[in-house]
Amino acid sequence: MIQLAVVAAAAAVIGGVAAVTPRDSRLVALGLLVAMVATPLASSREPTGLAVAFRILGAVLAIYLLWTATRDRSIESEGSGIGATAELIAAAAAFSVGWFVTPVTPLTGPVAAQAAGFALIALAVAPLAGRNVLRVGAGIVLLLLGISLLLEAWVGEGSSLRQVVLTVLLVGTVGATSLLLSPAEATAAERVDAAAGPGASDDRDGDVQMPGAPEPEEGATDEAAETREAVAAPRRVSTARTSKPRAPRANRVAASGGPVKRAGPVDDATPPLPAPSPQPAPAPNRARRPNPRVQREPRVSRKARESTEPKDSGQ
Amino acid sequence: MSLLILLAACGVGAVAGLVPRPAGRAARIAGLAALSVAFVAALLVGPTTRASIGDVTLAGSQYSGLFLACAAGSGLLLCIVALAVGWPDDLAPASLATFAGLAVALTATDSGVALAAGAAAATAGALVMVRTTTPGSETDGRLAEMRTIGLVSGALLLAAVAVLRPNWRGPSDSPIFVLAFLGLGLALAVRSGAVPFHVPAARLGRTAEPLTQALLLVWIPAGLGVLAVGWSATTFGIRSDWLNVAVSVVQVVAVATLVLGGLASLVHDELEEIAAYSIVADAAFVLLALAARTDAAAEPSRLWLLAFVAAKTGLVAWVGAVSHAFATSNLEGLHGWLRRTPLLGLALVAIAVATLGWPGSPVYGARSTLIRLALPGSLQFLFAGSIVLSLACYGRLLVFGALTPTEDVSTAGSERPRWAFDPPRPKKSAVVTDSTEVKAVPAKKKSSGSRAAALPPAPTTTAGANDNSIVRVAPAPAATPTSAPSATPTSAPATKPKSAVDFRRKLALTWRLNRTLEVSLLVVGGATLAVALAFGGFGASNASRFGIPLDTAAHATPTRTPRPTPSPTPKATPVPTLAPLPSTPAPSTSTSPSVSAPPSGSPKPVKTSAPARNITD
Repeated sequence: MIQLAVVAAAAAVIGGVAAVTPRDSRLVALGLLVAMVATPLASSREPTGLAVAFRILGAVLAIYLLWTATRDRSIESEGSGIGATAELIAAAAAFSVGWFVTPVTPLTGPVAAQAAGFALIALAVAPLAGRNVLRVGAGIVLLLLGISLLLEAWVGEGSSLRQVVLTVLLVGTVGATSLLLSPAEATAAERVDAAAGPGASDDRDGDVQMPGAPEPEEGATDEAAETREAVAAPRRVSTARTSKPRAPRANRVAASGGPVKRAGPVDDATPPLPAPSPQPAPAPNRARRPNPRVQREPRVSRKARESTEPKDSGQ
Repeated sequence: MSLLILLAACGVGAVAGLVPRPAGRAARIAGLAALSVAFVAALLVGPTTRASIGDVTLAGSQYSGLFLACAAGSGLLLCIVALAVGWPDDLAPASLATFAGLAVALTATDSGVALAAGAAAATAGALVMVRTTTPGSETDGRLAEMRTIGLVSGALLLAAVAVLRPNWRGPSDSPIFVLAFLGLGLALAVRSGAVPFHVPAARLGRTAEPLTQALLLVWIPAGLGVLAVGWSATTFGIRSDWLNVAVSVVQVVAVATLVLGGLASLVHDELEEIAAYSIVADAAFVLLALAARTDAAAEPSRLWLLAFVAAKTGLVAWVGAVSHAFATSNLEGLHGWLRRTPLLGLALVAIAVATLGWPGSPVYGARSTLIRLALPGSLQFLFAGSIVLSLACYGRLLVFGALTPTEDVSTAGSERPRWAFDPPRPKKSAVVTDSTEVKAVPAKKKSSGSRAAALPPAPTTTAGANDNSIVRVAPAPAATPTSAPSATPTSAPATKPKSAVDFRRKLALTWRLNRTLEVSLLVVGGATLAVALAFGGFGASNASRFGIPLDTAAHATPTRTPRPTPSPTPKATPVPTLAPLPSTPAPSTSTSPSVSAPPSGSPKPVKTSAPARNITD
């Protein structure tokens, strides 16, 4: 007969894979919820009802915090760099290692908890090195879940206060993740789309004009220079995006050229000049389609607009 | 009971401070009230304080009560200063959440609960990070804070696995102790901003809300330090080559932090960065206490942590006060600050004294003892070096303050008392514009101008950034040419009948005019309390002998193996490490007994799952 702990351990690992693999924040939240709910069930052969109820309540509260922080902002995770299958295989390998090794004898908790702990820790390693707050947060939660599973497998089920404190720690970590997912994070996702357009805002490098930003000083009124500036803007954005390590999703979006194509207005407005980047064929585009909730009008900087309009010299 | 009140006040206050967005007056009142209640409740925590939650007992001690009171009092002082210099919405709730976690960590008798509670307390730091910055920019500290939380939490839980002592199958459990030691060291180093994790700490002035350096770099690391120091002697006092290597790593990090932090505080010009590096440099002593691995280091490290919390909170408050008074935090623009705000200069001197002490003082002895126990003889010069670097840092600030004041400093408000009840002054002393903006005359014009400028020509006033230098007066009917045609705009405010001005409004105006003086007095008060704590006042020396209940429980837990802990013996075998264990028990800074002696005032050892000492070789 399959024990509850084994099923719960498998569910925790699957939840962990679901938390670190997709780019959709809703799937990340769902994966974390599964992992957090299954963990207390896997950590003990005969879990205490009160402790399990408290942990589940904490998991629901934590995921609610994450859900409310991400639902209206279209915040995305970086997603796995190696794909779901590879993540699953890695987790399965770590699970197997955890199932067969016996660093502690006798094992106080179920061996499934030890195996799931190994698997969750293995899953958490890569996200912790990422640059996306949501992904890093998911990695931290998986790491804490994994260590707590090892703790209870090796030392035994902790006191009720320890369960309470662990729950508070997990809620605090997920809450910190949802807090640090500010709206600026959403604009970063939008920027990937919008930056391909001339005059798009990318104030990280400081050399691209923000839409609506004050015009530069005098001296930049030369028409040819402005035209060159307007055309050079997307190139600079492109350079800026490739000069520093970017998220896999951003690289894929840049390589596919999808969003770049949407930046057409200015490209069309400057037909004699070469296009800033080659337009690839529209064939299989792995880039995720932009969320319609955050889709906006293509933004064109004032400078680029002026370069396409007839200049009023005023003389 | 007092412990439960403390936890309830912290919990309720944190929630009440977080719910209203944006934080208004209610949130401020709730935060200040909760901090006050927590401070009073912490003062009442003592050896007889007990609370049972399930099968775990939370037991107070003299030191845990004093530490929590010191932290809560520091938070209260900082929040009161923040009322004047700019209220950060999340400082009070984050502080309260942190204090709740630290209260559980410092009173729990289960080491797993204590370390997990310490980790949970560290997550509150996310509340105070600025969240409206562009991702990837220099002012974006969210990712760094997230990683810090992850490292601290993971390291502390990993340490909990080790100190709870599972029955390892292998012949030696040294590797897991090495991991636990490194976990505690990593948690301390990352959270306190030690080298090489110092960059996010230095940028906290831009990436976090104002005044929150105290929370992120002082209160949380100090609480974790109290936990770590307890384990240092009992759990990690074993002989193992791998552990010696880990100790050497911690020693290297501590030495680098001590030296580079001190040097960095000399070369930066932003006050926030200077304060951050000064705090980071002094946090190295906590790492040294962890690396000492002897009971003799427990008492000085506990005393040092009390002084560290009070003095560095005072330094953060001082930075906030100076930045507010002169509207700049760059040292180049602060030439002559000492001439305008001598009380803040006095506070800075008091902070320096509380941090360094002088020969014979408890805090001086604590610093020297920690270096003597944690570092080999060839590195003992670092004690003098750290003092020189700290003195140079504080001296540099004072020298800049004694220079000729810049224009910004000259025109800013001073600490000179101003009154709203003075009789009208000659009209020429006040500069009145058409928009009825009354500017204070610079200090060179003496008080007559300032006082005249401070006169309340109309009941409604709005305090500006520098409340005591510029008072924007709403146009009053009596001041309009229509109602007082004979009065010029300059004389209109002064000719308003005094009886028309309410006494209460004058009092309020006087309060606002003296904002700089009030803040300076607060900072001086906090610095004075820090000096008192650093010199053993308020029972600090006595409380430092005993530590937290977890220490008592850890010492009371019988060892599993007959070999005793390799406490310092006269003929200790040299170990291949940078810092050999001390050959003799180092003299304590006071004549009090060692921490390993059963304290008379501490509670009886309680049933606990604290680790037993494990001797493997």
